Amino acid sequence: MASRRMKRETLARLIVVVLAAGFVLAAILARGMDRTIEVHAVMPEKGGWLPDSLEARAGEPLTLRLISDDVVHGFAIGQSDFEAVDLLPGRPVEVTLTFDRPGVYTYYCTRWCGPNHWRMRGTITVEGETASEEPPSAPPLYVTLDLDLDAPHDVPQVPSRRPSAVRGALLWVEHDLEARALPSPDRATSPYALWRDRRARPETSALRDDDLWDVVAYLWQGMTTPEALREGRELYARNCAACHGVGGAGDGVFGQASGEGDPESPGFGHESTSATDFTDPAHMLGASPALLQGKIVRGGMGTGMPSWGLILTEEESWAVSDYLWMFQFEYEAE
Amino acid sequence: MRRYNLLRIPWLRRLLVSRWPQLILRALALGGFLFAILAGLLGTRVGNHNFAIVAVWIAWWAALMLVLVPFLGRAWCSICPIPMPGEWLQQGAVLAPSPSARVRSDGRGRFPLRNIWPQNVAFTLLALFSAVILTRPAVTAWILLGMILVAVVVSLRYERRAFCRYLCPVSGFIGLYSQLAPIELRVVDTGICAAHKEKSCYTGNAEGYGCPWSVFPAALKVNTNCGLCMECLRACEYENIALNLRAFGTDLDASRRGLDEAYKAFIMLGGALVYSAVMLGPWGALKSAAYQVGSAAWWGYAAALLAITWLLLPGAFYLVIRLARAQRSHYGRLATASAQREKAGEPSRRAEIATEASRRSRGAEPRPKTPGVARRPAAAHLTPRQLFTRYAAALIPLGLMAWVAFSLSFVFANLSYLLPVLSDPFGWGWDLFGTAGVGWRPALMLVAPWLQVLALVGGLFWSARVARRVAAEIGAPRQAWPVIGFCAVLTGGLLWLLVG
Repeated sequence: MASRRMKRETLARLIVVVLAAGFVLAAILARGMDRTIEVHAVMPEKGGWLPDSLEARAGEPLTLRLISDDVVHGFAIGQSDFEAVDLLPGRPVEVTLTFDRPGVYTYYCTRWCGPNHWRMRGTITVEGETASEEPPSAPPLYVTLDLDLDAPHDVPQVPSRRPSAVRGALLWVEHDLEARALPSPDRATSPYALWRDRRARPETSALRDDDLWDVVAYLWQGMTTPEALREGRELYARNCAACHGVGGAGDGVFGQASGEGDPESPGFGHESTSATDFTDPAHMLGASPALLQGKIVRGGMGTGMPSWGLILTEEESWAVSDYLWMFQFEYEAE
Repeated sequence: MRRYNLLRIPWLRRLLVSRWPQLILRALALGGFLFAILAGLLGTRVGNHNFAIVAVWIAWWAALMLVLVPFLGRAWCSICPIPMPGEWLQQGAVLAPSPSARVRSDGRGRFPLRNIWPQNVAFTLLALFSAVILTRPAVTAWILLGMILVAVVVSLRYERRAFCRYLCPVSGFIGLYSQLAPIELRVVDTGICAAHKEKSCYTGNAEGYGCPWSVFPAALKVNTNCGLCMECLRACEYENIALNLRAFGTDLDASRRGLDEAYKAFIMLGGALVYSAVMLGPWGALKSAAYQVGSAAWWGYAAALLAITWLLLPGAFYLVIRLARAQRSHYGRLATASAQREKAGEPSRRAEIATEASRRSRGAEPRPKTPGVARRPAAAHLTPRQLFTRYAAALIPLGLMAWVAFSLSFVFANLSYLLPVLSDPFGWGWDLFGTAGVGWRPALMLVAPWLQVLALVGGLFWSARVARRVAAEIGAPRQAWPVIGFCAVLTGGLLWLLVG
């Protein structure tokens, strides 16, 4: 009788262990066998990417399980053709990355997730051998030109109306300016410098100041392409508008920094500042494309402007720079 | 009051007497419980993708408030996993007691308290932090883990299920609302119990443990403290225990409650009001206040919740009682009639009661009751506190229906989260059953508001009926109306919050 009771008790204990602990042990075992690297995304104020640095080998696939732990985030690799993926809260997304070349790659968030969204970046260090025939990458133009990106560039004279490339094109033909063999503008020249040069020339003496600005606008449009402007518009909307505003007036939702002491502020840790107003002619017309592109690549030192040099390719940064002039000049419709 | 003994059904009796089905259910519940803790601690922080939140606060809560408590009373307590590890350690066995088993004290004393104030406080504490508990998996996990650890410690220190009886915040309201359920465990013939010396149902024997809930079945009048564990059913050598099917709310007729239980009714009603406003209302500031624990806004929210549940609602009810008591009615006439009898030399009702008590203390048999004449307490002699606790019974149906209505608000909307969470309980990208990708699909959203209205209005009518019955018992029918008015105001508030 006692042994029968003991057998029943033993069976009961076994049932409890199997049913009660079985699920738990199975979960722990499954977790232990999972070798996929998990990357959690949280709002930058709470940590950003966790972890924020990874390692890989060139030519070998790197599989990541991306999980957002709070709001909608996005994941993209800078300067690559990896298509950005959205991370919905609680829904893991697995991606497999393969890097052809060693180097340091930046992954970043592509969905505005908070005031410090731009700080949400991590790095993947890819080890391997560098191909010997690869040329070293060229420095940005502003470095080559030795431009002081932080020097003030406000101009004393601005147009009384928004310069129009359409009107400029008509004036160009009307005054036969093509035949005058005037030097073309380049990326090291600011619109004001170009306007001042043209103002001093007798070939354009018949043009009024505003008409000359229209000609400048026409020449400025000639330095870019419709494709670049389209790409620039898209990149601006995705990466810049949140601070600089849809209309470029520096009135974006995250554009106002409240100062050093506020971790919620986009300018946290920096001097108090606002996002640049691209619609201000006094400020913009004194800047050259090289200066604008340089600020995009380097970031604004002492301001909340992030560095995009590791995120955007050179072509992309020029596209954004080209697009910014559309807040000053009225270009021809595509 | 008609009752049907379900144990007359042979297979049901065998099912309930056998320990194996209950053990398997308990083991499964414990497994789910531990799994929820693990998911909460290790899984995704996103609540609707974590097993801990979805299984506990949506699925289990829905089952508890919509099915188990209203229809089966304390049925959940019979398989609840929280006390099980402690009880198994206390009893030294998982299944049946040893042949010479009696209640194993082994130096364990009785729990020092004999009321549910600790449960009231525990539930209030949970309510204060509920916005965080219900949305953060890790917090839910720590709460569950804490409860199981406290239950183990209490089981090792005190006899029987002291945690369940006196400390568990969930047990508190389940016990209160089980008074409404249509099932009960009662003895068939109290005479058999009176003649039985061993009282095995309470002390235990080889077939069953002594009641873990410290209840003597022969004296059991209400469901409040009966955990439906069936130990008395197993231990009783005379098959003198019945599992009766009965009318809803039967216990409200017989019960005498203390201030602690009356307060439980207020805490639950107040909790339903506050939860409805905070969690389902359109006021974002309230939600933020409830969530940001430690902030100034949270302290304001905490103060408001405490004031509503512990002060304002009971205080308003007390004023209602005073108002009711002040009404001159049949109650007043009774008092006048009693005074007139005394003047005429006839004994007053109070004197009659005193005489009867004296007779019984000398061993005399109780006087036979006059058929058709119920013994009624003298209304004139009931203090405001006594009236307060008696009329608090009217809040029990409304309270349960308030929680049913509140639960309906989110259950149909969120139950679809259960499918993906079963396939991917931790949010790690699993897909065990192929349902991980199932999107959110609210169900029955057009029907839910009507069900809520039905629940709340039904609860009001039920409460009104209880209030009138209490008033009739004490011979003051008109006293019910202020109480009914109080219930009506609360019902209106809940309707506005939940449906309006």
